[in-house]
Amino acid sequence: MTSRRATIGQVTVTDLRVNAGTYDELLLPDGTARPHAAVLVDTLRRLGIDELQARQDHADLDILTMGITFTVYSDGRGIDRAWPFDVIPRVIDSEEWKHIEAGLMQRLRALNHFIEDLYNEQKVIADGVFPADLLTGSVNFRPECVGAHPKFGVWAHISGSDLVRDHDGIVYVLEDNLRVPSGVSYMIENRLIAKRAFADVFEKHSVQPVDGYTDELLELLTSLAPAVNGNATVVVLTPGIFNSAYFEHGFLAQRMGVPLVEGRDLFVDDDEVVYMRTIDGPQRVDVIYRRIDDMFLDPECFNPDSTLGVAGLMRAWRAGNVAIANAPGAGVADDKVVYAWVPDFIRYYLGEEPILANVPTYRCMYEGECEYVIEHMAELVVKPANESGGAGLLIGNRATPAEIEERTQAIIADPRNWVAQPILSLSTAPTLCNGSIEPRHLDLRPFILTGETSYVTAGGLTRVALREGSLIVNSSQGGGSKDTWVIEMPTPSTPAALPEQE
Amino acid sequence: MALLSRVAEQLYWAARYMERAEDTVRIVRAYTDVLVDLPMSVTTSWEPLLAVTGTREKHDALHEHGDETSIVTFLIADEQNENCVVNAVAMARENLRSSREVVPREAWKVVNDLYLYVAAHRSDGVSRRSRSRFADRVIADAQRLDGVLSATMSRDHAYEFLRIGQSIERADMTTRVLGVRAAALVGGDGDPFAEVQWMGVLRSLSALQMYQRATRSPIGGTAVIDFLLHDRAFPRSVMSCLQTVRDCLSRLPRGDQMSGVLAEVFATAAQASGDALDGAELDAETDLLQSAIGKLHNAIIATYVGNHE
Repeated sequence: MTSRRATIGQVTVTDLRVNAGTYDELLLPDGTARPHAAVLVDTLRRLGIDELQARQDHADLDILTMGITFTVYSDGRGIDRAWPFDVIPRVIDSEEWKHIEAGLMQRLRALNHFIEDLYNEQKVIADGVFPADLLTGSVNFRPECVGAHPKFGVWAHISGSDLVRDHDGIVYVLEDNLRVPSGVSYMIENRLIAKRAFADVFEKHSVQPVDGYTDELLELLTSLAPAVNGNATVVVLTPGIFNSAYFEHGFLAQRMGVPLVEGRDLFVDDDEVVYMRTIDGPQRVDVIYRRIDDMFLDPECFNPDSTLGVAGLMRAWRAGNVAIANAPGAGVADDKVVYAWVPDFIRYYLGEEPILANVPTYRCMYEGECEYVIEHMAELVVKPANESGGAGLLIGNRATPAEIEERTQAIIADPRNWVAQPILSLSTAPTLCNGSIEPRHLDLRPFILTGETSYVTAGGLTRVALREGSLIVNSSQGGGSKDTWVIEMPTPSTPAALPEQE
Repeated sequence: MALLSRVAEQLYWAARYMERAEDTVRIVRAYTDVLVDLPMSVTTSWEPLLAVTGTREKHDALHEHGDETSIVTFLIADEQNENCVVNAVAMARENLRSSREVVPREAWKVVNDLYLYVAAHRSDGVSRRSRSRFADRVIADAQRLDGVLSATMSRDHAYEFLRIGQSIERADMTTRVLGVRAAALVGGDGDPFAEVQWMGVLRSLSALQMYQRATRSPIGGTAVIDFLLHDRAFPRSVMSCLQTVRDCLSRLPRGDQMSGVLAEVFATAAQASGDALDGAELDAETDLLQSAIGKLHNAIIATYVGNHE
């Protein structure tokens, strides 16, 4: 590897290769650049490996000194790891992005209608669109939330959908993360780092900024406040420094200029109002952006052993004295079984055709689909219906016979807990790996804000599987990240550059 | 925006730990320099450093020998000493980490950067060859933090708590240096090396130059003690630190609740003096001063943080 770096300063065409049968985000199958990536690919070739590696090293150092970390929790200790970042950006044509953005907004509107309906009239069940028995088996349905009407009828205010692109170039929604999706801080930090590493490349592109997210978030959260006199007090509620996303919790609080609170900083008084303990005495809290799971929110209502939450919080919420984002119970629609019905929800609630594709999903709770899954497991990805973080994922064509047998038994034991989908190939992008450029698989997590209006980040967080051939992009399991550029392409009617003025 | 009680406490401790790290390396560096100046015939001991930092018992329980390596390691880099420089920087960082939404981002960066440095270079802080460079880095970063806060942080309640933590730690450290180092020198006027040692005392608080400008006379024990206790203009004197605390408290809600305990600590500081004392008396007076500062600390925590864990 060293000899190669010493002898080859420039990246050659063969360095930028594409794996046969996969879609590459920057390159066509013959290794030439896709039109919207042409300037970037040209720059990569011109800079050469050594210069790219030097920029990567600088970026890594920036990440270390800025303390951009994620926490891995093991042996009862939280260990900070530097955020893994690949210096080569992933680019998306803005025309394609408009389509994705519209699809995401549509999806979240429908999902929010569904949640509101489920906790109230349940028309979707009465009309035979969604099977009633699914609700009884759902671990994320919260009976405590029945009859609640959060403002604007919105429950899932902040979501982070995972998108993947299959070999045919079609973008699919892989899952809707409606509980406490994380990663948006890294999206913003990645841009900061990339700007330093690639200032010269940014100059040649019109890249949509991502920095506005925290302003949009604060505006959304403020809009959720129950009617109050004067300014609403918004806080971010974190489980504490041992949480894997603690960095992000602090980041968001800092960028919004609001307090980052832990459960012990809050209390609910006899008036069913939430207060925080400040040096001025108790101060009313109007909106809580909570980054802890439902079950830990309120020991009175959910897990009685939770020390992370606030006793009485659900009483205050039900009394309409505090807004919680995302609303308790919103996770009911973030379930790999419910996922299969999302296209139906879009048609049912909005009367529209889905803009974004859903991955065909086999639900083991149905006998016929279950049989299919067991017979075709080698061609499928089998997932637990309710886990996050990539754990428990079985990729059929890579599993050993023993693993397949073990999973078969697990499905038979509890069919409702399992779903399966065809194996998508996941697109790749050129990634710097140990001194050479290799195609690596990636996904994309845009963040969607839904309130009175909707907002989608320009791009999102690109996560990349750094191990060769791997499809696991989670940072806790060897995944890295890339800055994501939504690029405005110059169209024939708008000249690429203004003529120089004399 | 109202400041969370928990965050107020964390800022207070972050500033205290940072000041502790800075003061400790300065004291170790100055002591090293003094010993170099003394002739071989003078018996030297590193134990006063343990006394200054109040860690003698802990050290002796863990280590058989009280030699230079053992003591300096203990003060700089020993994980078992929660107040060693590496730990103090780590604690400052931990406290700032969970309160970083209220401090300028650059401030966190300085402390994080210093933490990465001390954690990776702990042996440099011990070895005589590199000790001074290590100390320079710690002091420079502590001052960088000071500069970032001073230049970019709004004078809000969060800022007051950082300054209170820094000033209380500083007053405490100055008092300890007086109680141990100065007390050992008082009454030893015939000692041919007294001047060198008094200079060492001043240096361990970065006070030599300002002392000389203020007094314009040869270095004498009484004047040094008086300067370090009472000089209103020098920012590391006990009075000056206490005045900063008083000013900060006057801008905080319910600051008047601490006027009694403040008056007590000011009176104690005023009573202590460099005149006509023997070492034991100075030691006793600084003990009183330390316990008054301790009471002030307790009052601040009780008022703003309370006992909700």
